[in-house]
Amino acid sequence: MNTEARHLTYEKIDSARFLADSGKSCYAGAQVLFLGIIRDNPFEKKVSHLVYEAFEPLAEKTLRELTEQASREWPVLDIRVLHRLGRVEIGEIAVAVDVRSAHRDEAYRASRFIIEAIKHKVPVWKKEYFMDGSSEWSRCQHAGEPRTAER
Amino acid sequence: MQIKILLFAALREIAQVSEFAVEAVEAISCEEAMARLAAYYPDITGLLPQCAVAKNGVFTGRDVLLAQGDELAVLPPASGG
Repeated sequence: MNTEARHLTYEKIDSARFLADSGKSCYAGAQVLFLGIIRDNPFEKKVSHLVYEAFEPLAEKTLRELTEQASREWPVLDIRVLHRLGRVEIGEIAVAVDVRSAHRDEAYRASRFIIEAIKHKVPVWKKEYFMDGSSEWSRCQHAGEPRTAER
Repeated sequence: MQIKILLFAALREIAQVSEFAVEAVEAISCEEAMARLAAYYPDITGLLPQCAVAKNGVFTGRDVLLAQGDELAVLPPASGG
């Protein structure tokens, strides 16, 4: 695990490059890549774009701690997380989570754990800008709650 | 004694500031610092109960005391990902 890795970026995330940066491991039999992608919502106000901001020092620290926690919880070989900040357009990647392990079970579990924790624990916030000129800060959605324009 | 409060996202937007300095004679709790912030910016009052707090970049409890030079970050509910 690279403890010096940065987890936040203002640059576009390219999935192919992100995957290529994971390197190779002859012990990895499974690799799970999760991409959180900005989408429009056909049932509600049309989305123009999103803007993400963070309390960056604490967001970096929390993301690092989450990857360490997941590594203790499951026998994974590597976990990488990259979260966008700034303006992100429809169709662009907002967050990428890459987990490699010997077997698929721990890769899926660690990946799910990481993305759920990102949504609830990491001090990152997104503001949705709509085509009608309005905007609103997104609220963390929990299962069973009414939908807002989110993925 | 001065404590710096950092505001983010909706809080920053409502208060129209990203930083706020609280003056105190002695150590005060995070809760008290937030109350003083809300007294100055009453429109943020409704959002504060939902916020987490961090002291000097570390998540902490609202009852934790703040001293000279401490930085309190008031964090609305996360919406990353």
